[in-house]
Amino acid sequence: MFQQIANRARHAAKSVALVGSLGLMVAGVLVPLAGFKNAATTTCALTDTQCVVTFGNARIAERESALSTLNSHVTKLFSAGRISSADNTALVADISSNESGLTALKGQLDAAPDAKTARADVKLIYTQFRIFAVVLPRDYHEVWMDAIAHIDARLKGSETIIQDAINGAPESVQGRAKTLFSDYQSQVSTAEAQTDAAQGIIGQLTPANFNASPTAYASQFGSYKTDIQTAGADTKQAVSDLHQIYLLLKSAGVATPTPAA
Amino acid sequence: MYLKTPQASVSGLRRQASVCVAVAALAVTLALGGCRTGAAHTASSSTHGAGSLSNGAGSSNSSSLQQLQSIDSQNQSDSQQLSGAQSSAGVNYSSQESQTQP
Repeated sequence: MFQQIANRARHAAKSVALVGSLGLMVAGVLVPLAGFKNAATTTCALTDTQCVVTFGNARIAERESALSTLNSHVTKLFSAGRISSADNTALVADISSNESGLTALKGQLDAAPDAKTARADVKLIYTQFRIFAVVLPRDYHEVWMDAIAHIDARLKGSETIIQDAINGAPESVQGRAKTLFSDYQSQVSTAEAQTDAAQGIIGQLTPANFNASPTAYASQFGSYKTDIQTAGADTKQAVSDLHQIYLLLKSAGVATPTPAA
Repeated sequence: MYLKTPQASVSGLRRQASVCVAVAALAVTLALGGCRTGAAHTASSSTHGAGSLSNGAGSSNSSSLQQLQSIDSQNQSDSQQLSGAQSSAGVNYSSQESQTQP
């Protein structure tokens, strides 16, 4: 009796394992397919104008949504005082320009008289705007760069205050404080140079240059990104230096002279 | 020869002594008053001076540290925003654009 129950249990367990394995195999096939399912799989008949228009409008909507998200990101940082008014204006102008361009293209696409014309309009989504390939990577990095530059300006402007505070510190902490301050100045200076370098590249990061030579564009974008990353790291280090100076002077009970006017 | 009577001499001496006492009292009064005024003035100056020095050192000490604290606090806050901006820039947007035709 018990033997029969045990055998049935073993058979049941094998069945469950077999079904489970098959399920996993099917899932293993389907999941990657789902991952690859995107706009590229959409196909329209050669003369199906409406199909092409619908496809193009969906791609435009994706880009409008992404631009709207970028706009919110910029507005949030500007409202929080993390980027300057001039930087905010430049970024918002670029976003608006792309949005209005896409709106005009949508109108043109909707009015396409045939599938061939509609396909030519769809192609412009990529060649003329390149929202995902050029605009978003460039502008999100620009926001980051602007935020770095904003902090750096304050760090640079704080040097006299820090120097005065260190001058009034006890001898016992002055050596350490001066070392930190020296590094602070070096980091701020390097960050400033890096943001200047990135600023010099940004004008070349256009859809037209991407179309002309994707390889050359990728190289320039790589330099732009590296400059900003370096500036960001330098700025964080300067912020850390200042934090340590503050804690050092505070713990030493520093009696500082009035900063020179 | 004219000789003063002893009574007359005593009376004169008393008047002279009174005048001397009055003059001395006046001098002492003036001197003490002057001293007190001077002392009060000096004390006032000292107090004012000490107060100024004390307030000056205290306020500059407090002011410098407060300024550093304020800058440090702003930096810490901005650093967090900076990390957010860095994360947004790190997204691979390019992968979403593969040129295609329907």
